Amino acid sequence: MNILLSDQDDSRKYNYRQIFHGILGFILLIMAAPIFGQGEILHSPAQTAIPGQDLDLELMVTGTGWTVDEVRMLYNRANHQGFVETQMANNLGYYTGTIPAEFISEEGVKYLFVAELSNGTRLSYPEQDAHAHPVYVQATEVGTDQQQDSPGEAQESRTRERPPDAQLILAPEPNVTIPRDEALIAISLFQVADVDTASVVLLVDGVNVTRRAQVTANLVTYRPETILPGTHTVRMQFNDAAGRRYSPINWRFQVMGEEIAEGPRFELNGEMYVENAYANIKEQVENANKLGVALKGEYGAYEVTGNAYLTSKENPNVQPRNRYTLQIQSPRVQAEVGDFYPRLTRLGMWGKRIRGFNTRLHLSPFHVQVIYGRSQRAIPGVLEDLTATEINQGYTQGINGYSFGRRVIGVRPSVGNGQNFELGFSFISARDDTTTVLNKIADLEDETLLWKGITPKDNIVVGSDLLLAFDNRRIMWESSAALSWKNNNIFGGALSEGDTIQLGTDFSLPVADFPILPSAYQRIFVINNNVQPFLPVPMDVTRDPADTSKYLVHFNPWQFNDYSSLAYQTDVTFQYFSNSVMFRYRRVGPAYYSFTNPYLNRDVAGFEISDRIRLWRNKLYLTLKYENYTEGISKEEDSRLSASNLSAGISLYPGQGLPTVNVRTSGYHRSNALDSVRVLPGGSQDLVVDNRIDNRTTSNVVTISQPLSLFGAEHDARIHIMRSRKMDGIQRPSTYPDVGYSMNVTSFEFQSRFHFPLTTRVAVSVNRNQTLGNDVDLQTLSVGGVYKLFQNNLIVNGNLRLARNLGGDKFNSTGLESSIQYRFLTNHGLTASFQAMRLSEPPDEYTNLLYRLRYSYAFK
Amino acid sequence: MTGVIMRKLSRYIPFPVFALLILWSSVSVAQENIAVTTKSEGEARLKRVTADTFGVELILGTTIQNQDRIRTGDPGFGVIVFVDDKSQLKIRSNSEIEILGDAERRAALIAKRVRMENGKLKAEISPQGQGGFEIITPTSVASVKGTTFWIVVDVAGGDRVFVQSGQVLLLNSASGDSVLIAADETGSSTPDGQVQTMPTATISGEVDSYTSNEQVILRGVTLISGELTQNITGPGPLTVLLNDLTAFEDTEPAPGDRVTVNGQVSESGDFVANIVEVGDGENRLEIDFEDESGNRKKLKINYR
Repeated sequence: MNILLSDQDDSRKYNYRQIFHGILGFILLIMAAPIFGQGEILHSPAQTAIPGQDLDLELMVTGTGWTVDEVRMLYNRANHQGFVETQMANNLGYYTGTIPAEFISEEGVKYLFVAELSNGTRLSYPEQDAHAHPVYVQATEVGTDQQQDSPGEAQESRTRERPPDAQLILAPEPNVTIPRDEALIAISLFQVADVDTASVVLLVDGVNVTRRAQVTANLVTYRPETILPGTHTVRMQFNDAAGRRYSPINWRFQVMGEEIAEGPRFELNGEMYVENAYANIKEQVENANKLGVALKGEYGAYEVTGNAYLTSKENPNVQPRNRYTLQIQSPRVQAEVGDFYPRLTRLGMWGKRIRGFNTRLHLSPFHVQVIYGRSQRAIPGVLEDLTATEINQGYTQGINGYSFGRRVIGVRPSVGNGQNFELGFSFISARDDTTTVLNKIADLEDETLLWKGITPKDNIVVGSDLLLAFDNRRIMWESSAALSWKNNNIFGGALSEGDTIQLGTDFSLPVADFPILPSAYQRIFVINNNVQPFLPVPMDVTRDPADTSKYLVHFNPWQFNDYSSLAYQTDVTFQYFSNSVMFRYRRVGPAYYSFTNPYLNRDVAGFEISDRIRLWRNKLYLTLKYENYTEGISKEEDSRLSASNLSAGISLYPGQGLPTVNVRTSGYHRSNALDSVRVLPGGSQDLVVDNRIDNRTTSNVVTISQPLSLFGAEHDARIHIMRSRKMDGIQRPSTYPDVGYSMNVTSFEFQSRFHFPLTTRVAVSVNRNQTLGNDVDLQTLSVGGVYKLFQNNLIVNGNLRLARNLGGDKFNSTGLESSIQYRFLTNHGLTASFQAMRLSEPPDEYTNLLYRLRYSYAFK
Repeated sequence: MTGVIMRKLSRYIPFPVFALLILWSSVSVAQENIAVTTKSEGEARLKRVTADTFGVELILGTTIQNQDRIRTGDPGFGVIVFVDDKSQLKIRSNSEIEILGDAERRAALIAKRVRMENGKLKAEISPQGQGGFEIITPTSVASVKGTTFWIVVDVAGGDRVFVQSGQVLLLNSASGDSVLIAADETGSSTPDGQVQTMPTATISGEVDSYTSNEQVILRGVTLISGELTQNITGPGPLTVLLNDLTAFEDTEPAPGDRVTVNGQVSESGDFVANIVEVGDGENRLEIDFEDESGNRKKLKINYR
């Protein structure tokens, strides 16, 4: 009998059944995630984004049955690789986050959410394969007027029309002078259709006063307690119920009296909350307390922001869950202390959390950014218990399950304004500190331990990046390159004078013959025989014909594609004639590592080209994209994997009252050049190794959203259909696990907004999946509503959710959740939420309960 | 009594259904804001339709809902702005009005009507669509599509309407007769069914002296608009008579103020004021300071 093996690494052979069961278990776990009451993330995807403006997003986690530890938002420009990660703020049960304006460009933006639950599982949005298929949001306006077909067309097409400002501003009239005691800011939304009052943000002189404003469906008023003489600015931002942002209203007015001339004032505002959550899930009880504080102070051009998040789930034996951040901004200096997600270079450090400090100094045209901190903290692990006999016999005590504290340094000096020209150089160092684990272990008698877990590592990355832009940024060229060294084990430190450098199995070099002394540089990087690569420059090593005991080394520094630890990427974009064409080439060597950008795929090279075409006065968008990458560029030709993806999308935004349609189709092909299996003779039976890969994945997604006006209320009907299928193109024996799958998701959602403050939502979804012979036929029904009373100060939320799986592992569940949010005495908020779910998994039955109480206080 | 009924109901109706009923009952009385107060002075109070008394002080930012009533004392003043088209009502002292506004969100308009028992108000009405704007008094109905006018309502003496721009249709409720009042005209409607118009003029001059409720003596009078049956312009002085029907646009005048007065010349040759408007007379003084070190500070002073 033959047994099939997958042998990416011949030295490690796994039993097929173990692999099969492992994969099956994993997939079942993934598939079961939404089934077993893990709930869902409720979010209305943003329909549009305006380049150069922040994009505010909001979501609610529902039906989880577990408390939510944190929700993270991952985002990036639509055409860029990877994501930037940030934590979302919990605001009275809703999680809110903002994608900074710098990520909202002409090409649009992509984002996804990940919610970490207290039971260690995750929810994501989009639910299926969110990293590969995030939410894509088209940009609404082009960057420059010249690029528009005609002025204002982009806004007409995808931002909501709004009446002229004069119709909206009730008081004070723009540019009028009013007495101090008549300062009332009033904006009418009566003529503006479909406003999401929760999205209203009112800024007076740049200060967010929304919490002290009265916001109703048709009127926003704010009466400043005190207002100084002089000129004042007002800005109001708001979205419609579908998340489409209206153009902000801006105006200014004057207050009579002596104008402020005595200088800026210090203003402080903030919010804090405490929360208690209780969960009883499948008879496992869990309790969690949280405390959050957010402060913002402004003094003229200086701004201080502080955030703290403390949870009783903080555990020194895992990576930190508490978060602290203090930010200070001034025109020339920006500094962050605490937890932050720095973006130094795309290839080197991009969005990974670091605890420490991050400073940026701007002395135009020169800039420098310096980062110091820890990307992971030390975890003490578990010491083995030795018996007295073992101690007497001289056994060394072992330790396992530890994690070293990792110190990170990043420096990037640059020159240029970032608009048309910028040249930067970067140095990044990340090193495990071996003493940090020992310091965490109390009463350690003997520091000589047998480290049975991971080895301490060291990593440096040096790089440069260049931005050039021409013709009002219609032509942009962005390139970056980085070279890395990684040391897989720094125990023992750097090589010193008497050591030998081992380069390969049959080539060694005395340190004394090496141009530098490694130990002299160990403050920067620990150089020993575990460095990968030892010499990054491509070279040929041959025996000296004259003396065969010697080697000749010939360096080939200009053979860039032979640098194993080099990564580079170049992007060129052209924006002409309603087209936005982007070409990218990227190559990441097999030995390229950056501990501060773990999301980058390595050992890959390829290109992608995309075009985004605006048609019919920006009412129709076509997106075409082709990418072709070779994975495993360091491997033999046969083992390299060719991956190509062709995708096309159509987005139709015909205008107010008409349906919006999004259609996206893609075909993904992965193959290698292997055309036969290998048979390895075994003891009692031969082993057949089948590494042939030739599979195609097709995905088609259609989303249609139609606004309706029926029975005196406004509605949005949305249908979402997703079909995805992966097929193996190779005829294999029936004993080989089928790598194919099919995924069919159909959902229908109907949201209604009544003229009184009630919003209801009915959603039905059917999810039929087939993977590795496991069938899932999940049907869910969700009915809920939100009612707002007393000018949004009291919000009542209720939701009923029914789910059943008619597929393999049958179950059904009935969940009821409800919450009340009450804002009182202007600054105080109270939220109580309750969830109950009856879960039947024959023969077992459970009643899961969860409640959450939260008090918040906002002040200024 | 209501509480007893509710308790009995809750005994027989399951809680979720009962809660929904309560929810829907609260929905049915939910009110929409149709206007907002942008200015108030002195005694000005509001009575909600659900309240028995004028228990709410009309202050800056107070929202107005359908069927709310506003009452001003002496002194008392309030300005409200409608949220659909920024039409304004400036309610003077000793007035009482009821605001009726049916909000049609789909048509993006509010059909506005004001029921006015007595008092004075100035209406600055933006051009109206289908809804129009009406002021209903015990004597008349004044309808407009878009105009600026004053109305003075007196139960015993009838109504007077001074139109500054646009046109007002004044209908006498007793007789059914109506007149169209144009700019620089005054219309009157009396309880005995009479309705008529007469021309008015607007003059401007500097206040020499002012006697409350009696007269204003002006110097340097010029004609701004309308026609006069005799020449009253020139260096003056000109005596302008005030009466109960005279309305002050904002504040009462003081010597030295520049005022504009709408009215007409009486048979005795005096100018009788309908509306007196005191000019802002606002001046701005800007002073630049600079010390020896070159530090600069700008001081701006507004004064009247």
